[in-house]
Amino acid sequence: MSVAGLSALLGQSGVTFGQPTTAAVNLLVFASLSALTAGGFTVAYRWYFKSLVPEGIAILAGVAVVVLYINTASLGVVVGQGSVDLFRPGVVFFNVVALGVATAVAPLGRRIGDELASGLFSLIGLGELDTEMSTMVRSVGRVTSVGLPDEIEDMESYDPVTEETKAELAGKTLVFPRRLSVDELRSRLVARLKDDYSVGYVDVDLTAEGTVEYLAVGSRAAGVGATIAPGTVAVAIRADPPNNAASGDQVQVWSTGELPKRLTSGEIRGVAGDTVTLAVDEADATVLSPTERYRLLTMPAEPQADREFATLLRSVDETMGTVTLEAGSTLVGETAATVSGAVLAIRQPDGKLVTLPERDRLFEGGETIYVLGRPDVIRQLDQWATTPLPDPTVDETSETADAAAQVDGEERAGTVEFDDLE
Amino acid sequence: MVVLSRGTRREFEPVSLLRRSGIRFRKLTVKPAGPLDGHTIGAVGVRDRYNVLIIAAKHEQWQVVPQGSQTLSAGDDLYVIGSCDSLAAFEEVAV
Repeated sequence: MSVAGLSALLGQSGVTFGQPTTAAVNLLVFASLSALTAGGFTVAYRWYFKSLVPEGIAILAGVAVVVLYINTASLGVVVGQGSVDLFRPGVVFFNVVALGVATAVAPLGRRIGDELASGLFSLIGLGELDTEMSTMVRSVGRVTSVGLPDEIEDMESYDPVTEETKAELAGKTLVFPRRLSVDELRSRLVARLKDDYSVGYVDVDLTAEGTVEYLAVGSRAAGVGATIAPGTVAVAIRADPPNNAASGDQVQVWSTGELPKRLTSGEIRGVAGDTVTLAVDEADATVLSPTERYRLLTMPAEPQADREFATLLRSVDETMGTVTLEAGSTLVGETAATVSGAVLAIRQPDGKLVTLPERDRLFEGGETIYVLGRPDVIRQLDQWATTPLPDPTVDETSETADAAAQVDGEERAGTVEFDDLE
Repeated sequence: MVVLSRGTRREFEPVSLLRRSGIRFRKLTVKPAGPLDGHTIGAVGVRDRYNVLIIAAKHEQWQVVPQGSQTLSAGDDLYVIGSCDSLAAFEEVAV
């Protein structure tokens, strides 16, 4: 059959089974069209989404092309000849068979496409082979995969998470979108761990390649115990709280006898009916009895921003820590500007405390610095404070501090972030 | 029943230490059309000009140790620390 003859066969719209050759050729073309489209779609899908396309979608793609073809051919006839043969019973029957063939063949195309894609992409390194090499490639490629370490630590000063959660997290690989800076990747990783694994606090060391070098988790603070300062305790008493008294109000507690007597003062932590939970001094807790009734005197709001702030710290990742510098360590001679947390105070070796030190003040051996920052930053500082200075080239870090403040996080992973803290 | 304080409380120790040595904490709100509204912390030079330190800022959520590049806008809550005098001066002009 010549090419001209073939195209003449295909150009027709009102094909019926009355013309067996034409019908057979058309069905064959439709079948290969459907398979080809489904296959191509599968390859594209695997390239983009890294998984096998759902069967329904592949079939839809294959059939859609055939429908489009039949439609377009019929439209051509309508425009050219002004007659519509699309609704003749024979034509309708043929078209239905054609769509059936397309539906049947599309899964075949999908399977071939998938075989092809898997072979092709693993050859050029885009596949999902879980080898060391593939991980490296993927981290600069389409997705970033982050492998969690097998050993997951507890965070100091936070409640530990359950062993089950740790076992679930250990050695797990999480996949993130590509082209994330290390900072973005860190916050996404932390958010993922918090959302999906109900972890309250995360302390993670992340390298520029997206490798987790250290992971510690803590559980969310629950209950009143975690929010009251040392030296104070929470007690529940029966009293007559003012109707708008709420957590944080300062109150005096008076007895209700003949001669009212002031017993103690405290801070309201909760009100339920006439039961009031108060945070009071440890020593005063014995004065209050759960069966007695008391009167409360609400005090004018007293700014307690420091307590509020300390409580706020319990609910965020950042914490306060102290780092003591050994003589001759890497940190000696550095300034507060190189610390990516806030240096709140420095205790000098003679015991004198320098609060809010100047940012160009040099650290000296034997000093203890009080830092507010992420736990990993504090841990890193602690490591530097005990590591002897290897060679003098470290000095360049302080010179680049200001310039680096604006730079996006790519290269500052694992090292200090030089963000200017105003 | 008495509920005791729980955890190792690393937070409270430096806070009371700072308070004992004359550093005050204050919670402030950025006022509209003030020198902070719409500017980054770094551009205003809060630390150098007023000698106070913004240790936390709340725009939509609390950001502890905000960086110099963080923009402040009216209504943001801030935790600021500094000496009494510096805080008073800061409070007068900025918030």
